[in-house]
Order: sequence, then C-alpha cells, then structure tokens
Amino acid sequence: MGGLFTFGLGGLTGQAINQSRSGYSSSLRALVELSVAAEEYGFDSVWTSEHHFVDDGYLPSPLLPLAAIAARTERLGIGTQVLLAPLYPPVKLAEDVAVLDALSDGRVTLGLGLGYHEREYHAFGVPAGHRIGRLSQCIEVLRTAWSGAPVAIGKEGEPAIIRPLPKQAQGPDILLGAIAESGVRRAGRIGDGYVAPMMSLGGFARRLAWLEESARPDFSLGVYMHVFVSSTDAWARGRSAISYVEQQYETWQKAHSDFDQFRTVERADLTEPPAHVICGNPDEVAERLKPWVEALAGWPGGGRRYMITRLTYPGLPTDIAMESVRLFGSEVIPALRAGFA
Amino acid sequence: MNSERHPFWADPGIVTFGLTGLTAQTMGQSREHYSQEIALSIDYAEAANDVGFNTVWSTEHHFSDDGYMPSPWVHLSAIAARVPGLIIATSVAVPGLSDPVRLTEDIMVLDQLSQGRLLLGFGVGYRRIEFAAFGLERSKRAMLLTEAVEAIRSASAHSPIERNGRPPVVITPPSYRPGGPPILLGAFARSGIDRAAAIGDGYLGPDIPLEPLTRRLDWFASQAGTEDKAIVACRSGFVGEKSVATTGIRHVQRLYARWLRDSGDELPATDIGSTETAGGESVPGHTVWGEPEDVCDQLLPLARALIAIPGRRPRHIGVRLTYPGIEPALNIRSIERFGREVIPMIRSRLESNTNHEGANNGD
Repeated sequence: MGGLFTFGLGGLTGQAINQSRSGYSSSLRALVELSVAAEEYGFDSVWTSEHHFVDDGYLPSPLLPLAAIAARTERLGIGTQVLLAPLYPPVKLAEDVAVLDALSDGRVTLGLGLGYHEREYHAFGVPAGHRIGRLSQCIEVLRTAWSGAPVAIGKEGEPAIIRPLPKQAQGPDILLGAIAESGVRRAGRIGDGYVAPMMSLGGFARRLAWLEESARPDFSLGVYMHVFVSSTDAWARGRSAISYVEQQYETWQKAHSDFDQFRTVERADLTEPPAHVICGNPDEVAERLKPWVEALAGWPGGGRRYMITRLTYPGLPTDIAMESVRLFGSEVIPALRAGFA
Repeated sequence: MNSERHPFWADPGIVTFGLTGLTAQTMGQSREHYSQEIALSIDYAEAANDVGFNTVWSTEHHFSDDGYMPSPWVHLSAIAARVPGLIIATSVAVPGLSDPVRLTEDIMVLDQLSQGRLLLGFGVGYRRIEFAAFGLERSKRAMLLTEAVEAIRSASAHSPIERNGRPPVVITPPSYRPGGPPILLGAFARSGIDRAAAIGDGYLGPDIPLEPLTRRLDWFASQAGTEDKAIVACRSGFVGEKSVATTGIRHVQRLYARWLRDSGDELPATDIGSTETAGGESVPGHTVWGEPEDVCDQLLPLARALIAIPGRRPRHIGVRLTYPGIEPALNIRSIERFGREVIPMIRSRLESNTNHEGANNGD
C-alpha cells in the first residue's frame, strides 16, 4: 500500500443559483460553513476551484475562502483543486500562497491547471498558446521563491526575494490536474503529484501507467469524483443540482470560444446519474468508491493519496448539502478507511 | 439590507476608532517566525473585536525581510472570519501593483465573504523595487491607481470592465452593495490629496504631526465636492510601559524612513516634527503612548481637529498599537486597554466639551 491516505471535500466553487448580490454572498459563506463542518465530520482537507466571469459567480479567487476557512479550523488541509496558473503573475502568486501557508501553519496544497477558456486568457492578456510555458515557468518561480532565493518575472522584472516565506520548508506541494497524455506526463515530470479529474477506472489505470515512467518515489496521487450522499432517494434529491453542474461543464468543454459559454446553463434535468457521478446512500457510495481506494492505495510509492469528492451542488438547500457532507464524513470515510486498515 | 450605506458611514457626527498596522512584521526571520506573527496579527484583530473599535486594517508592502504583509486580501479574508463585528480595511494597499481584473475579483470576493464590511484604503506606492519586480513603471503609478479605482467601481455596478487591447469582461460576483466597498485614498502630497477629493470616498491622512496633518485634512475638505467624504487620521501608539515599546516602534519607523529615503520621497523636516526619547531610543513626538490618560491627552487635540471639520462625514482615528519584538500578551493588552479605557475617555472628554459649548450657546 502507498503513503498516507486522505479524504478531501472538493469542487468548492461558490456558485449561486440565486444570482442577486446577497445570493452570491450566501453561496460564498455557505462554502466556508461547509468546510468548517467538514473538519468536524472527519475530512482531511477542502479544495476550491477557479473560473472567471461566469454568471453564477463561479469562484474567481480560490485562495481567499481558504484563508477564511484556515482562520476557523485547526487541522483541516486547505488546497486549490484547480488554480489556473497561466493567468497569474508568478511572483504575486508566490506571495499570496506563502501568506496563506504561513497563516494556516503550513496546511496548504496547491493544485494547478492550465484552464481552457479563451476568454479567460484574453482578459488577463495571456496568449492561449503560451499557457504550457507559463505553467512550467510559474512552478519554477514558486519553488525558487519559496526556497528563499531571489526570483524575477521574465525579462522585464527585477529580481526580488519574497517574504514572508511559507511555513512548509520547501513550500506547499504542487499537484497538477490533467486529462491528456502530455499533461499527465508533464505532471509526472514537474509536479509533486497528479490528480485525475472525473474519469473511469480504466482511464485512470492508463494514466497511472504513463506516470510510472516519470514520477518520483514520493509522488502524490489523487482522484476527483462527483458524489452525492443522502440516506434515501439520493438521485431524486440531487438530480436537479447535479444536472446543472454536469451540463455547465459539458457546455464549456464543447464550445471553448463561444461568447455565450459563460451564460448560466438552462436546467434540463438528467434522467439518470451519469456514469462518473456516484449517487446513493452511505453504503452504496462506499461500495462504489472501494475500487478507487484500491487503485489509489495499490499504486507504488510513498507520496500522499487524495480522494477528493464534490458533495454539494449549486441550488441544493443548505441542509441537504450539509447532510451530504456529514454522511460522507461520518459514514463513508470510516467505511473506506476500515477497508485498508 | 444590501441597499443600506456602508457601515463606516453609520455615525458621521462622532469620532470612531480603528486598529491599524497589522503588518505581521517580525524581528526573527525564520518560517516559524513569519507563521507565528501572521497568526498573531489575526489574534490582534480579534482582540479589537469586542472592545470598542469599529475597524481593523491590514496593509501592503513587498519583499521586506521582516515579513511585512504583501497580501492584504488573503490576510483580510482570514481576519474577516474572526471579527464578525468589525469593518475590515487596508491602510494602505497599493492597487497599481496588481492586474486590475485580478485585483477587482479579489476585492469583490472579499466584500461578499465579509457581507459588505470591506473598506478600501489605497496609496500610489513608492518603493522602486515593488514596481520593478512586478515589471511596472513607477512613473505611471498615479494612472495605475486611477485605473484600479475605475475597475472596482465598474465591477461594483456589475458593469463591464474595459481595458485597452482586451475584450470587456463582467466580473462576477459583484460587490455586496451596489455602491461597492468605499475607496479612501492616502496621500502626503497636494496632488494626491486632490486626487482623493476628486475620485475617492475619503482621505487617509498620514502619520505626521498635528499641524501639517490638519492642513492636509482641511485642504481635502475644501476640495471634496460633497460634505460626506470620510476623513481618517493615523497614529502610532502603545498603551503600557513606554520602554517596552520603543524598540518595536523604532524598527517600524526606521524601515518606513529608509523606504521613503530610498525612493526619493523623503518628507520635508516640517512634516516630521520633534522626537521623544524613552528607554535610550527616540520615537516621533506625535506618538500616542503611555498610560490610558496619557494616550487620551495626546489624542484629544486630533479628535477635536477632526470634529472641527464641517460636513456629515465619517471621522476616524486609526491607531497602530502592536509592534514586532513585544511580548504578544502586552500587544494584546495595549489593544484591549485602548478600546476599553482610552476610547470611552476620549468620547466623554469630547462630549463634556460639546455640552459645555452647547450651554454657552444657550446663554
């Protein structure tokens, strides 16, 4: 079995179905409250994601709610699931993450991604064709800055030594998300770990094979899944909210360059859960997640193992969202842990 | 509820108080020191929550060995979560150092997380290394500040932000209130004060002696088109044994003086004023420190000067009360005693003053 196995509450995006000013505020504050509760219910970590200019308020600043969560929790790991690295000036990002790591007493993990929306690159003045180069450069700057050495931004920047330093000796671990083979191999080469976003077990196994060639012995490995837990009628209760998220991602991935991609999607309910969404009572969910736990735990190497699950969806009433988090934490996690104790 | 004015405007007639200078500076320079000091800065904000302060203020400088806070929005997100009753603010953040879209998104998210408790204090910035490291031209700093203010106002109205060469974008979420977080501008020079009067919701006066400060506040009030623009004055102080605080106050003062000197923005001697010596070190003569009675006596002339400026505007005194190198418990005590003892003392002295004058007028 591999290294330390951890469970994370992921997909924290602050999206609002009620798109009034106070609706956005409620969704963001609910994100913080769910995370504070997640610590109590037995989760090891919480994870935010980033997108920009979306009608539903999809979180554009993934570090800020993590700071609020850190201030109200004791041991909970805080991470970005996907922070869109090419969109950031690396020195500024190095500072912000260092401050977050210092203020949380070293609890940060930084998940990075390339992004894919043309409009996001345009708005930040980043040519989409430079995104891979910018990701690699960003990681280099982060690691150099966090070691305490001077860093410079490209040609135009004067070298500077960032302070404060992060609490963790070499700075937070950097995990990379990717689906394509080149991206997965890149994660093996330049990341401290890889997180596989929403795929089949077979697809995951193929990616593990790509990683085995390049990844270091202490490389970390994670999976991200969409899950919804309810003691009864899980699909009936979660369907409409889960459909919203599924259709939004589908729209985005189908039409990158369409101006309307940032409109809130119409809610047309799916008739049954998609194959990659696990929906059920705690026993059913644990049963279906078991092979994933085995795949993660069975991979060689000593790095961390992350099972990150989204458990809440925009528009779910707060009590139902909280119940999904509570049931996963207090019933599914112990059941899965017992499986490899 | 969202349409109400920002809580900073709740009591325009009276002087309110804030805790400034949550810089997280440390005398030690290890990862452990930086981490502890940031955690302490959040504890200091929390200490101010229930003792009479209205505001707590983070700040921004970069690349300082002592860990001076470079990330006010991350810092305030943590602080806001622990001080539910207070306005959270910056004195000052330097918006020109960040991309306006990213900066505005951070500000909107923080404003929403804190349910509209954010108050922005901005400066143009002055340290050469800060502009150079971010690949920016310091000579354009006034323009960069103005652009940031425009971006924040557009986003608050949920209107598109237009920038040359880039497609317009609508930042979502917008601010908690349609008016957005108010924007105060800090400035030493006449041109900066004029900018605050023209485009700011208020003026953040610098930590300089009363006479040159009053001149600036008066000028601001005379130039501001409306009578509701806020005036804020800043002071360094400490409630407790002066000898405990001298080294910390000196560290902070020397650092600012060196930064200003290196930038060619040194203050004229008339704006620096006298110094006071305690424990073998000298600190500026307008430092407000000692026992609560002393601090009250030192602050009263400033409080009266703020009251004397006409208009229905917020009048606020921000006091730095914590310093690196001081036992944390003594920094916390300095905050608590200022809130519980100094603030009521100043209020009652101002009130008796007003009543007295009222009686005279009645005659």
